[in-house]
Order: sequence, then C-alpha cells, then structure tokens
Amino acid sequence: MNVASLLATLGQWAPLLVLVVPLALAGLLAFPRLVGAVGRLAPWAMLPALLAGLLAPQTELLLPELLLGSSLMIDPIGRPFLLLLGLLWLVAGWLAGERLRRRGPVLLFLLAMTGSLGLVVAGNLVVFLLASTVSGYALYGLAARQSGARAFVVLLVLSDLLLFELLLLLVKSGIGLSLAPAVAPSAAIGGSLALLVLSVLGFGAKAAVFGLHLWLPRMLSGRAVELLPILIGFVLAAGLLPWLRLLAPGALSGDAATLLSWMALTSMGLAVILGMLQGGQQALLGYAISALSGFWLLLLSVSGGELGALMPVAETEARALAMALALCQAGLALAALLVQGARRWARQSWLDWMLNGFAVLLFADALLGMAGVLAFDRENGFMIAACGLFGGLMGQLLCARHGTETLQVIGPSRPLSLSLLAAGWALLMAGGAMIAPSGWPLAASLSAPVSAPLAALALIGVTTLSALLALARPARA
Amino acid sequence: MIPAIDAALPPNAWLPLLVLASSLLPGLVIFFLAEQRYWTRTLLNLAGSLVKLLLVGAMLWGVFHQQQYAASLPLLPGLDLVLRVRPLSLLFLSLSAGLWLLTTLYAIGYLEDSPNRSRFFGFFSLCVTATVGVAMAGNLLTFLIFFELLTLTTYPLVVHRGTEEARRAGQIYLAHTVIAGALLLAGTVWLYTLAGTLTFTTQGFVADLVERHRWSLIAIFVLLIIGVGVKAALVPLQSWLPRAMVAPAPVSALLHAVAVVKAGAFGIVLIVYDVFGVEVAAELGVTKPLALVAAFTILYGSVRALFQDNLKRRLAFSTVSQVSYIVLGVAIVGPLATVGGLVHLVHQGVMKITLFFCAGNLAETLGIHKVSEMNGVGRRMPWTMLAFSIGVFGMIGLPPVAGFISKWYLGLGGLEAGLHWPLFVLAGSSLLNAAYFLPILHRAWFCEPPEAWPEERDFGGNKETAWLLLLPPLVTAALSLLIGLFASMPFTPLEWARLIAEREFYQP
Repeated sequence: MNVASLLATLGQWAPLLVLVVPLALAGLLAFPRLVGAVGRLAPWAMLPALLAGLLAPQTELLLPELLLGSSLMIDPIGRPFLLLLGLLWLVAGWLAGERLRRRGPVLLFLLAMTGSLGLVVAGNLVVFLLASTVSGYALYGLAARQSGARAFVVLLVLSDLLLFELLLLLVKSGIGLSLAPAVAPSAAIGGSLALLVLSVLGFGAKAAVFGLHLWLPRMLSGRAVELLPILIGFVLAAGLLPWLRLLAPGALSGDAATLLSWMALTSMGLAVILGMLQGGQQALLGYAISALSGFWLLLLSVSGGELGALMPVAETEARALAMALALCQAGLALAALLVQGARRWARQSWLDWMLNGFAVLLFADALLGMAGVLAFDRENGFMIAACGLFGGLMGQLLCARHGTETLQVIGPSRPLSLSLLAAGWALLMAGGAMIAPSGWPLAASLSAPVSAPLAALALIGVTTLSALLALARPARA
Repeated sequence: MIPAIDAALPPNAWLPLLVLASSLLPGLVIFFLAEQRYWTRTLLNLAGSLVKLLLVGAMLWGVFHQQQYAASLPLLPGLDLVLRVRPLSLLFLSLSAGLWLLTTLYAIGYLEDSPNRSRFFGFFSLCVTATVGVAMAGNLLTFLIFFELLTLTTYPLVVHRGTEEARRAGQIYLAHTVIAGALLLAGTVWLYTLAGTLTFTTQGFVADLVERHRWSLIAIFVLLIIGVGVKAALVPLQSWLPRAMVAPAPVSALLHAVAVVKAGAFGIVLIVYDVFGVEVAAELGVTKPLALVAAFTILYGSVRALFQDNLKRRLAFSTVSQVSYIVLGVAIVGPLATVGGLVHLVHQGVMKITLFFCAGNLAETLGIHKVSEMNGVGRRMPWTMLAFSIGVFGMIGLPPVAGFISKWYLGLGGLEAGLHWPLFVLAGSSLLNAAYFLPILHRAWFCEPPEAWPEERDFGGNKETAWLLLLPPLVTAALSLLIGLFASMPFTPLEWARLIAEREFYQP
C-alpha cells in the first residue's frame, strides 16, 4: 500500500477516527493505573478532529449495522465546526488542568468530547441524536454541581423527546433521516408546521434560544472555567448546526418563514434586553449566546425568502457554507472573549494585552462575517433589526467585560425599567406579527439600497468602538 | 396418564426435550443435596445453564436455516403435550437461557452462607424449566401446564426468606395467580370446545369461528388475557408485583426479567398472534381495549414509581410500566409495532435485570435499600453504578442503549397504524422514567456520601463487592449497550423480531 492509498483510506475513515480516539482513551480509564496518563492526553484527543477539519476530503462512511443504519460524514459545513470544536476542546482541556487527573471528570470530559464531535460528523439524524445524548449527559455530569444544571437536564430530556418525535415523523413521511446535503429533509420541514415547531423547539433548547435558555447563563456563571468553551461548543454543535443543516437557506418560505422570523426577532430582542440586566459578565454572555441563537434562527428563516424554493442548489449550499463559517467565527469570538475573561493564566500584562487584542480581533472578524451574511437578503427589515440588536449586545458584552458601563444605557440598578422594556418589546413584536404578517414597517423605511450598508456600518461601528474601549482598558482580575 | 417418550423420536425432537431436562434434572438433584455441598450444587447449576445455553444456540442457528424442532408427547386423548421451537419461542428462550446463566452466577454469590440454598436452587431450576416450557409450548394446553407450573415453582422463591412480610407477599402472589390460572383454564376449555384444537398457528386458528361465535370469542379472549395478564402485571391486576419485592434480589431479577412477568407478556403475544391471529383479534375489536389498558398501565406504573423511596419498589413499578410496552406493541396491530413489542421482550429483560442486580449489590454490600440512602454511592461502587446508569438510560429510551430501539419501533408502529396517541404515551412514559430515574443517578454520582453506610460488608482489600455479584450486572449492562448499538446486525433481537413480524404479517 503506497502513501497515497493510505491517505485515501485514512480520509475515508476520518469521521470515525475523529470519534474513536477520545472514545479509546475513555476506554483506557478502566485501568486505574492509566488514569494519570489518560488525563494528560485527554485535551489532545481532539487532534484527529482538527486534522480532519483541515485536511480530510469530503466523505461519507456508511455503517448500516450500527443502530438503525448509520452514517458518518465530513462535509463543507461540518469542516469549520470540526476546527472550531477542536480548538474549544483544546482550550477546555488546558483550563481543566489538574481536574482531568481524576477518573470521573476525565471520563465525562472524553465522552462529552466524543459526543460533541459526533454531532458534527453525524451523517444521519439517529447518529445525531446519539451524539447529542452522549454529549448532553456527559456535559451535565461535568456541570452537575453548577447552578443551572438541573434546568439543563430537564430541557435536555424535553428536547430529546421532541427530537425523537421529529425523527419518527420524518421517517413516517418517507423523507428519511440523512443529513447529507443533497438529501437533507429541509424542504419537508419547511413545508410542515408540526415538523418546523418540533425542530425549532427541539434544537432550540440546546441552542438556548430565549425562553429555553434558563440553563445557560447560570451554568456559565459557575466556577468551572473549563466549561465555558465546552458550553459554547455544545450550543453551536447541538443547537445551531442542525438548524443550519435542516433549515437550509431557502427551505422556509411563506407564512412559516414569517412566523419564525417574528419569533426569532422577539426572542432575540428579549435576550438582548434581559442580557443588559445581568450584573455578571458570564451571565451577560449567556444572554449574548441566546441572542446569537435567535439571530441565526432569524437568518435561516429569512434567507432565500419567497424565492428560496427557486434558488439553485449550488447557491443554497454556498449560502449554508457562508453561514457555517460566520457562525463558527462568532462562536470562536465568544469563546475567546469568555476564556480571556477567565484569565486564569494571565498574570503578565503583555500576555493580557495580547490575548485581549486577539479576542477583540476575532470578535470584529465575526461581526464582519455576519455583515457578509446580511448581504443575502439586504432588503429584509428583520435582518437589519437583528444585526442592530445583536451588535448592541456584543458591544455591551465587551464593555461589561472591561469594567466600563459606557454602553450600559440602562444599568442594572433599574431592573424595573428593563423589565418594562422587555414586556414592551414582546408586545410590540406580538402586535407586529398580527398587524403585518408579511413584513415589518422598519423594512420599508430601511429598504435597499441603503439598508445593507447601514446595517453593516452599524455592526462595524459597534465593533470598532468596542475594540477601542477594550484595547484602552485591558481586563483586570 | 404419564407421558411416554417415543424412542423413535427424530433427532430434532430431542433438542427441546433436552432443553427442558437441562434445568429439570439438575433442579431435582439439587433438592437432595446437603447444604454444605457447595461445589456440587454450583457445578450442577452452572453445567445445567451452560448446556441449556448451548442447546438454545444450536436451535437458534437451526431455525434460522429453516430447521424444525418439535416433540409431541401424548397427554390426554386428542391432546398432546407439544414442544415446538419457532422464531417467537426462540426469542423468549434465548432470553431466559442467557439470563438464567447470569442469574445463577449472581445467586451463587448472593446467597453465599445463607440457609436453605439447596431448596432455593432446586426451585430456581424448576422455575427456569417451567419458563422454557412456556417458551416452547406448541399448543395452549402445554402453555397452560407450564404457566401454572411456573406459579408453583416461584411461590417458594418469593417466600424464601420466611419472614412474615415474605409470607404475606407470597399469599397475595398465589391468590392472584391461582385465580388467574382458573380463568385461563376456563378460557382454554371453552376455546377447545369451539375450535376442537389448541395448536398454536401463525395467524391463529379461530378465523373460521368469527361469524358464528363472535361474542364467545370475545369472552374467551378476555378470560385468556386476564389469565395471563396477572403475571404480566397489567393494571388493575398488578398489585402482587411490588409486594413480591421482599424476595431476594436474584428472585426479583427472575420475576421481572426472566420468568414470571415475561411469561405473562409472552402469553399475551401468543394469544393475540397464535391463538386468535392479529387480524382476527383486530376484527373482533379486542386489540383496541388491550392497547388502552397497556397505555394506562405504562403511565400508571411510571407515576407510581415516581413516589417510591424503596429502590426495589421503584424498580417494580417501573416493570409494571415497561412490560406493557410489549403489550402495546402487540395491540397496536402492525408489523413495526410488533417488532417494537417483541424486541422489548428481550430488551426490557436485559436492562431490568441489570437494575435488579445492581439494587441487590447495593443492599448486600452497603445495606442500601432506599433511594434516599444512595447519596454518593457511585464513588464507593463505581462499576455497579456504571451498570445501573446504563440500565437507566436504556429504560428512558436514550440511544444507543437497547430501550431506544424498542421505543423507536413502537412509535413508528403507532404512526404506521395511523395512531398518534401512542407517541404521546411513549413521550409521557419517557418523561416520567427520566423523572424517577435521573434523580437516582444524580444522588449516586454527584451528592456527597454519608460518613457511614447502613450495613457495610467487607469483601477484602479494596474490592467494590464480590466478583460474582459484580460480573453479572456488568455483562448485562454491556449487553444492553451492544444489542442497541449493533441492533441491525444478524441474530440480534431486533433482526429476530423483524423475522417474526415478517412471518406474521407478510407470509400467507
């Protein structure tokens, strides 16, 4: 066997190798003497995922005898997620440090990593459900003593039940469970309200979309810093990635898309407003992530619009890929901000400055990525409002992290006003949904050709301002 | 009249008889062994269960390749004691033979140094003999005989401890099962007078009677279902089961996973498929009420389990709920639901026996009997609790454990039959399962252990517990995982259930 064929074989089996390494290390924990060694190796178990994200060819591995017939795959959408998760798990392993020298935590760490990577390489929904179960319950194990863990496990159970029903209905409808881009059941989900609701709520609980988000801010506020990147990875891979795969751009149209847009915008606005109410930066970040989920749900529901069904497949795939990249950038940025905030290691000021700058650069890059996605549907008022809201929250996050309240227009000292604002926002959205189901007044006033540049400028403006603030005042312990 | 064995029986007829004999003979010998003959008793027990397992394996291979295994012994004029091994029999037979070996190992460890072991293991073997007789029954009369034999052989096991509570539980068990047995007998006799045969037949043997004896058939169906429904713990006939929890852990495992409850559920399967035929039963309108009873039992058992602090009682109510999945699968009427129901016969057995083994370990090693005493027990007994956790995940129906496969097919079967309510029942049950099982795991793994356990036993060194107590739950937990993860491989319970459903629904 020459090198080329060996590499080809490795490429073909890459999705399995991604999972086998952390799983094999977990298996070695059966031998007590190896616990220390496994603990040291655990953070590096993500290396195959990182390599597969960078080098593996697009491939699908059929495993017909596994569960009810399974498949694993590496596809263009999954690849940036593999890279992102690889990095997040590496950071998590580093932050966990000595805690991974004990058998229980390292076992849960490796299982959560396996499940999390499995979410990305799952080729069908049954494998996805399996990976989601493994990662979700292992994550609960890691965070069981944290506040919010109970809410997390309750939502996990409910979410899995909804997804189970979704899978059954998909099979019953003759659509199948494959997640391969060419056959993904997005059209069927877009065409059925029941399937849409199940997928939005089922994945929404894991994406911490507002209303199903209660677990996230509390869990992020806990003491275990290694959980921070893991939780971000979980939200992205278990909640947002399946939306990206199942609600492919253009799959939703008509009333379903409008309804979902309203819901997403409402939830996002509420997350932003209540996010500002938070005193702690971790809790604020929890709401930022919830807003991010709302933002991406909104993007998926409006991209393509009425013409979505007529969009060429290649364009749909390109949009999905662009969204995946932007989403990963956003995830990385959030993780960088959060982990940098934890700054367990940063005692020297130069490192502090460097990490701070790097986090901000990542953040700016993420917002620019979102601005690029905005170009898909630049006449849509939903999208513009969403970008504005999300940008605002991100600016708030940056400022809060750096101990300044410059952008904190309504501070935590006035929770009642914020509560009233949140209620007002909810009422406004509900009224808007009833009065103008096919559009939003803001859309008309900010219509093309000025809307997209305006929104992009708003985002860039917030980014620049935040970056300046951040660089001017590095984090203090 | 004593049945006489024809010496000219074909070779394939000997196999079912040998399967019976592999536990009957050791059981009879063990009764007469002195208490201190530990090694002889152990050897007989293990040899019998290994031989049975090998014989069942051979028949599994044979039946897959279209071999026939049947033995008929004259019993009454016109009525024979018929043993016939079909795919459906083998599903139950493999379960009971496989789990008997593990339960025997466990019982040897569990009852070490306790009194009346010869009596215990004697009845233990007879109980398994009756169970495999039920599995291989070729007609309703044979089924009835072994089914009642099962009652008689399990009663001494339930009252084995000899306490007042055990005797009371035994009386309740006996009262329930004897009355049910009488109804089963009445139904059987009535059916024989109408049909003139009791031979189990794929797609049933009463189709010709529907026009003339519709109401009689409905009444017979009710009698037969009540007759077996007591052992299957259908509501409102379930009250004996939680009380029988006073029995030693191996007996609980036997009752819940290998023999009694399973025999009841298997009886329902036989009555619906091989006596009435699923389509005739549906035409008579008896499957829908049966499905509703099963659905109610599923939810009732789960709700009751939620409020039990005693671990074994919680598991017992969980059994009440879970066994009715089998009945629901049968009563929904459709190939996919049938697959779900039948495969759960095996899956529930393997998962539930894991939980009972673990409960027994906790009781024997640390004196833990209540959920509220389980704080931090995962640190003291990690392997036991790992096995318990796998069993719990299976019961909730989480992939990749076997329970997921059962629930998948049951849900899909409901949709295939045009019914959405089974989905809500399954979802409700899963939710309740999570509500009464996950707090146990949280306590065990994440709460601080007490300073001292209720009654801790020392097994030497740093051992978690005795090897004979630890090995069986680890094997069954691994099995629960593997038969779920590799469900689509040949010879798995799922593939076997598919084969049975195919023959029931698609073959003329």
